[in-house]
Formats: sequence, structure tokens, C-alpha cells
Amino acid sequence: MNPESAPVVFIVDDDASVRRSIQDLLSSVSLRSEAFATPNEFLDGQRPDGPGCLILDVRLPGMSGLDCQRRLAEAGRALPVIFLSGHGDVPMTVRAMKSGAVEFLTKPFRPQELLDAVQQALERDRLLRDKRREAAGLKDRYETLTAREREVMELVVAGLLNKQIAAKLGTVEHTVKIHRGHVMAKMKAESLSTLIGMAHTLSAR
Amino acid sequence: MATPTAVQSGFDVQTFINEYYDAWSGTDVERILSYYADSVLLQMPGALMEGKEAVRDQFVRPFITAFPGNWHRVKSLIGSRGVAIVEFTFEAEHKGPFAGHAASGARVAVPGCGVYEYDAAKRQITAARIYFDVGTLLQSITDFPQNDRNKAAVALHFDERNMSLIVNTIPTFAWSARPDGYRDFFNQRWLDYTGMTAEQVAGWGWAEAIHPEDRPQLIEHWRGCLASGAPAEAEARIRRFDGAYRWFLVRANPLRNDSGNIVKWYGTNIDIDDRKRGEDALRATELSWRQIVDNIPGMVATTGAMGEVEFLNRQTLEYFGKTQEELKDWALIGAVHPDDLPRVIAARRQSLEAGEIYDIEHRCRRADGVYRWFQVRGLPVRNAGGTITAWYLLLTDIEDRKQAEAQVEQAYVRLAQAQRLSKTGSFITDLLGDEHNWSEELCRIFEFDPGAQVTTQAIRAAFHPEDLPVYEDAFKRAVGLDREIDITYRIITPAGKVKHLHAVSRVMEQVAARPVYIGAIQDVTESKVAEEALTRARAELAHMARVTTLSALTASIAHEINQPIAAVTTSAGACLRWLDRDNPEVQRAREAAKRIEEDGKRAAEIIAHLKSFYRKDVSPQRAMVSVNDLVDEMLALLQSEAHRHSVVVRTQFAAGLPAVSVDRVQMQQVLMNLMLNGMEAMSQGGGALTISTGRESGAVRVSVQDGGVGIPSEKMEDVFNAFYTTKVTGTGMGLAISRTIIESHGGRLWATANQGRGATFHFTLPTEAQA
Repeated sequence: MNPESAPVVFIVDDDASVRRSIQDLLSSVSLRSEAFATPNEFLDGQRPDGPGCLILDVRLPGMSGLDCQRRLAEAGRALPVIFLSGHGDVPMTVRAMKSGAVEFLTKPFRPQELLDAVQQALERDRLLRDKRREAAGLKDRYETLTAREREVMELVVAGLLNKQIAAKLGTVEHTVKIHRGHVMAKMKAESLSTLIGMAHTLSAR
Repeated sequence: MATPTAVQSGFDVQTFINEYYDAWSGTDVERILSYYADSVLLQMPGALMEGKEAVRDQFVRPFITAFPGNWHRVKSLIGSRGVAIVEFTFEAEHKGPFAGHAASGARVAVPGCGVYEYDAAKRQITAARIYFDVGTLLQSITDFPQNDRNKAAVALHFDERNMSLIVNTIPTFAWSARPDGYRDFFNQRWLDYTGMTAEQVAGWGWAEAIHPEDRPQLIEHWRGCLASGAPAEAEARIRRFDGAYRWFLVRANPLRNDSGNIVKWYGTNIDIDDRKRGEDALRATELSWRQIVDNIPGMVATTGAMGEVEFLNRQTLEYFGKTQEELKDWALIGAVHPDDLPRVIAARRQSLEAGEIYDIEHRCRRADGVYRWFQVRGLPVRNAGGTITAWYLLLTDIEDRKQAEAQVEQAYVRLAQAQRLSKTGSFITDLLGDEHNWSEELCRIFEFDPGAQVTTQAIRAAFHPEDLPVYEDAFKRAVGLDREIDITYRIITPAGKVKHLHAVSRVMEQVAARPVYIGAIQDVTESKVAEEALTRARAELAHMARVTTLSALTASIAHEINQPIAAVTTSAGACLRWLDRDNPEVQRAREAAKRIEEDGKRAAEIIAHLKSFYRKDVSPQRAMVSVNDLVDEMLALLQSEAHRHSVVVRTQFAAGLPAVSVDRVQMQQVLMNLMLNGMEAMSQGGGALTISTGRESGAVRVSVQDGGVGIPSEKMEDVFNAFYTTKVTGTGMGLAISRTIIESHGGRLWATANQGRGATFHFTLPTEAQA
């Protein structure tokens, strides 16, 4: 496992005071942060694909927070988002949560709420990153399978018996057993159910 | 008395007069004159009276002197313009030729007549003549024997030759005729005058000399006298030798014998041409007077002493369309309006009885049946004894005046009604003299007793105590001759009612250096109350509009306020955490606290701005502010709204603008309206809202320019109308209220179309010097 770099909390808010106070609050709990006045500045900025989360004001000049969130996702740079709103309204909150927001805070929020939300977001980011990392390993292992092994895996996962697979592939049951063993080993699957989960994860990608 | 000298050579009147003319002096003429002046001249007309002295000295005196007999009896009196002709008869105790009579003890009176012309202009007698009626003279002579028993003795004294001499010498024409009318004698003067011979005129030949127009009449008369034996007297024109005709008075008396039969006619012809001409002139004069009377544009009438109609001039007859005869019964024929008749009759009766001037106005019926108003004045004419002999009446058509009077009356009534309806009273007042002429309505407004004396003190007492300074100031200005005074104030009526009055007055004239004011006072209580209600309603509406706008803005405004508060709480959290560290980071905590302070202040400012929106203040409160600051304040509030509409707000502020006196809250409302409108206009496509300030003559200008959908030019004014809106949620009051606000500040609000997209709203606010 690669050592995780320190997470960065990104802040996009057009109000300078709010930006600075949030940055200071995060700093007081030893969290790194970067602040932007507009979504475009944030989106255009070069930043390492490190762990982190995004505190996003819903109403922003030029682009709404929700649009910004969507753009990030499209760019494959999804970050857990904590929405801030000057005056939250229900429909906007619902949309935000549906699109995967961690939290929707209405200004003025309690500092602890924000910090809790940040922790939660970072946790989710870590999980997401783990998942992504796991998914990335799975794919690499899958790449090591031979074509025959992938065929066998597909049929195993579909729940066919070795004998049925042999019949389907026009081979003998024993050969299927050997392929199956390779698949399990290469995919580092301890059980059939694990393999099924992996196959599911792969097909979801 | 001097003895006549001409007697011996016959009766030459001219000589006779001449003699006595110079001989009057030193006689008892004075006594005669005195008598004459008192009894005769006093009866002469005024024109002659003026020349009394002249008459007496130039004519009467010598004449009287010549014939100091029994002077009496003015026979006739003829007056004409400028010339008075007086003819009178007298009987003189004759002397000279008739001395024989005197000697016999008989006194023979010789009748004669004198005519003189008196020129009033020159105030002197211009001609004088004396005539003796020879016929009478002769008769007297011939009668004498009859009166005296001693006829023969008398006859002896009768000097035939002398007689012939007299007859042929006297300046008159004498003739005689036989009982059958045949004229057998004409004296020499007759013949000389006509230029005819005795043969030619004898018998009936004389008629040839008579004017053809007079001839038949004269002959007729003469024949009648011959038949009846009555004395003849006629006037006729007789031809002179040169063909000219002169008027003569022809007289003839019969001479009868003892048995009473006519034996002879004696006649005289007296030249009366001058008198006749005088009469003609008089007639002409009368005619001309008549013409004047008939043609003057007035109606004239005369009545007798008892009011009986005698004369009506042509205008009068034409007006009534009646004859003079008909109008004598004026009271019976409807000439006077029936409603006026009893009054007219009563007035006439009273006037006639009292002999006083008669003056009454009544309606008279014109020929076409229309009644018109007349003023009828009658003046009594009195004789010397003071008795009324006639009435002169002047009828003046006053219909137009009556109508004018009626119109004035009507106008007055209308004015009073108008004053009543408009609750406006008028006055004319002399403040220093404390004289007040108030209209009825004004008394009613003040609830003063109509009869009570209006005084400055009473007016002052009516003033509302709080408005007494207004009174004092107005009074001071009025006394100081301020031309126009226009004040609004309250009074408290005796009944305790408060009334709002508006008074306007101006100097009408100055009497004895004191200003006299004319003015009007209107009771504006109702409109004042209505105005106050309207003001309240407008304020309510404005407030409602603010609240409406506010509710739409709540989200945005809450956002705006929540920004600094969020910053504050966050910074506070940070601060605490810096301090709570194992190694407290005091410096960082202080920085956080500093930010808390700043953001707290910022929040307070925003709230302060907002507060003014919630204020429901009816009375505007003016303060001197900078328009640039005003715009900045509004921008602070509307920043997030601009974001929401994706609108960029730009400002172009002119530097050094003078401050303006405005109501801050109202100005914020106007700016907010204009800016929100601009933003909403651009909500589809975004854009820039530019707010610029600048200077205009005597004012500062604020323009709010958007790049929105714009306003069609024909709607450019409609947008300011109340309830005009293009927005789904708009009240349509925003711009209407804004304009009201700006105009109440003495400014102007208008819209223009931009060169490119959108519209620009401008308003101006006068700088203090102008406001």
C-alpha cells in the first residue's frame, strides 16, 4: 500500500472572509487547505490527485456549486463535497445530497459541524480512494488472465458447474479445473463468492 | 309838458314822435315810467325783462312822453328767438289836430298801437313803430257827435280839409265804402302802395291788389260783413306797386245813421307784415322745436296740471304704436304693465296731489307687445304764482340697465353660490384701518355671526394656537406691503372645530398709505384630510412594496448577512481551537479574533442597511448624503442578487458631487427598484449593470443602465404607471412609487433606450441651492 499523502481541503467561496476563516479553522486542527474565489479557478488549477475534500458554496459567480460538482465528476476527479449555503432551500439541498454531497451546511454553521463534515468527507474520500485503488488492482490481475481463463471465469461467475463449462468450451472437466485454479490464484480470490464480487466490480467499470 | 309843434301842419307822426322824443326830460314822466315798469313791463316775457332798462330808456320813455295818456293793456305778446316783438295798444289824450275836442270839453281817446322789436342778443331795441288805428280814430271822431247833443256844433268843428289831410298823411291805408260794399274812397297811401289809380281800385277793383290766395276769403268775409253789418276784420296780403306782397290787417266799421241803418263803411289796412313774419318765424321756430322734440332719442310728454295727457312726441307715439288720442287713456289700454299699473297710478296721484317730482320705474308695452322697463320722471311746471300749470314727462328706456342690473344680481347670486360650493370666501380688508369686508361665505367658514363686526382681533383669535406664527408673519408681510400673500393655516371655530384654510391675497390699492388687500380664503379641510389619508395610503403602499420586494430578496439578503456571520462563527471556532491546543497559538487566535471583529462589524453594517427597509416611517426625514455613498450601500445589499442573475455590476462615479438632501430610506428604495429591475431584465442572458453618477445643472444625476430586453419606445412612459408590470410577480408599483419619491424630492425620473441592448433609467436630485 502506498503511503497516503496528507489530505487537502479545497474551499470555493466568493466571500473572502468566509474563505479565510474556514482556512484558519482547518489550520487550527492541522488540516491543509486551499481556497478559491470561483469554481473556474478551482477547476482550472493543477493539483495532485491526493486525498482531500471540497467545501463548495452553492451560489457562486459564473457557475453554481452543483454544476461545479458535476464538472469534477465528469473530469474523473470526484471529491466528496460539503455544500455551504447562505440560505438553504429544500430543493437545492435534495439535489445536492442526491448528487453525493457529504453534507449541506447553512451559513452560519457551527465550526464543529464543518470540521465533522470535513472529517466525514475525508473518510469517505479515503474509502473511495481505497475502493478505487482495489478496483485498479483487480483490473491489473484480470489483465494477467489468458483468454481461456477469462472465458472460464465468466462462466464460473455465471454459476455453471465445471462439467457444464467443459461441455460449453468443448473440453474436458479436468482442464476446466486447472483454468479455474489459475483464475482463482491470479485474481487472488479466496472463494467463489469473492470472485463473483470481483467480477461484479469489474463489469461495473 | 311840451306843446307839440307839428300840429299845425297836420298829424305827422314821425315829426310828432321826434318832437316828444327830445322833450320828455323834465316832465312827470318818471311817475309814468314807474307805473309802466311795474304794471306793463313786468308782464313782458323774460327776454324783454332782461332789456328792461334799455326798453324803458330807448323806446318806452320817449313814447310815453309823447303820449302821456292812460297807458295800459299789453294787447299781444309775440316772442321769437332773439327778437321780442311787443305790440300794445294805448289811448292817448290827443292833442294837436283834435284840440278842438279838448276845447269843447270832450276828451277823445285815440287808440293806437306800438310795435317794437327787441333783440335779446344785442339787448337793444332794433326797431320801433307806432301805428294809430285810423279807422277807430275816424270812428271816434264821427261817433263824437252822437255822444254829444250838440251835433251841429261838433260838425262845425270838423274840419273836412284837415281830415282829408290827416287821412292822406297817416302811415296807414284808409278807405270807405258804400253800404252795398262799393268802395268809393282810398287814401293816397293806399294808392301809392299799390301803384294803382283811384279809378282802378274803385268799387271792387281793389280786389285786384289782394293776393290770389287770400282774395276769395277776404271777399267772402267782406260780403258777410256787408250782409250782417258786423265789423270786418281780416288779414290778407296786398300787392305793392313793385309786385311784393305784404300782410295787412284789414278792418272796417260801419257808420250808422239815427235809424241804425248803415250809411257808410270806414276801413283801414294796417301793415302787419313784420308781425306776420314774426309769427311765421315763430311757427318755424315752433316747428323746429317740435322737430327736435320729435327726433330726440327720448320719449317726452306733457300733461296738464291734473295729469291729463296733452302732448306726446313722435318717439312716444311710435313706441306705443298708438295715437295721441288713444294714449290719453293710457291707464286703460294696457300701455303700462298690469303688474305695475296700481303702483304707477298711486305714484301719479301722490305726485299730483303733493306737486312733487314724479319718478317711477315701470314697464311699458311696446307696439309689438313687448314690455320694456322705463324710468318716468315728471317735473311740474309752475307759473309766476307758483301754481302748477303743466307737467313735463321724460320716459327713459332702462330695459338694458334693468337687464344689466339683473345680470349683476344674478352674477352676485352665482358668486355667492360658487363661494358656497367651493367653500371659498372673499374679503377686502384694510388691515391698519381694521376694516374688513367679508363675504357671506367667509363669515360662514369662520362661523362668525353674519351681523357681527369682523376685527383683526377676532381673526387672530380664530387662529389655531400652533399657527399663530403664520398669522404674525403674514400680518407683518401685509403691513410691509408684500404684494401677494399665500398662506395655509388652521382655525378653531367658536364651535371648537378645526378647519384648514388656504388664503391668497394681494394688494388691491393703497388708501392713505394703508394697503388694502383683496383675497380669497378656501376651506381646504376636506382636501387636507383627504391629502393626509392619501399620504398615509401612499406610505402604506410604499411600505408594502418594500416589504414585497424584501420578501423576494430575503434569500439573497439572508445570504448576504450570513456571509459575515458564517465567517465570524468559523473564525471563533478557529480562535478557540488555536487557544485549546496543547501549545496555544495565541498569535493565530488573535488574528482570528481580529477577523471576528471585522466580520461582526460588516454584519452589523448590512443589518443597519436592512433595518431601514423595515422601517415604516411616514414622515420623510431628509439628510445630506452623497449619491455615490447611496449607490454603494445598495450595491452591498444587492451583490448576491447580482450573482444570482449572473449580472456584473459596474459603477462610474463622478467625483466631487455635491451632497443632496434626501430621505435615505426612500432613495434606497428607488435605487433598489431600478437595480433589481435592471438585473431582472438581464436574467435571461446576463450582462452588466452600470450605475453612473454625474452632474446636471443644479442637480446630480444617477443612471442605471442595463443590457436587458429593453423597453419599446411607446411603453417608455407606461412603465411609470401604477400597476404596469411585465413581471409575473411584480406589483407594478415599483417605478410609479419611485417616480413619486423622486418628484417629491424635486427631481425627475425617466427612462431612455440604449444604443445597443437594454434601457437606462435616470433620475436627478436637485442640489440644496435649488431645492
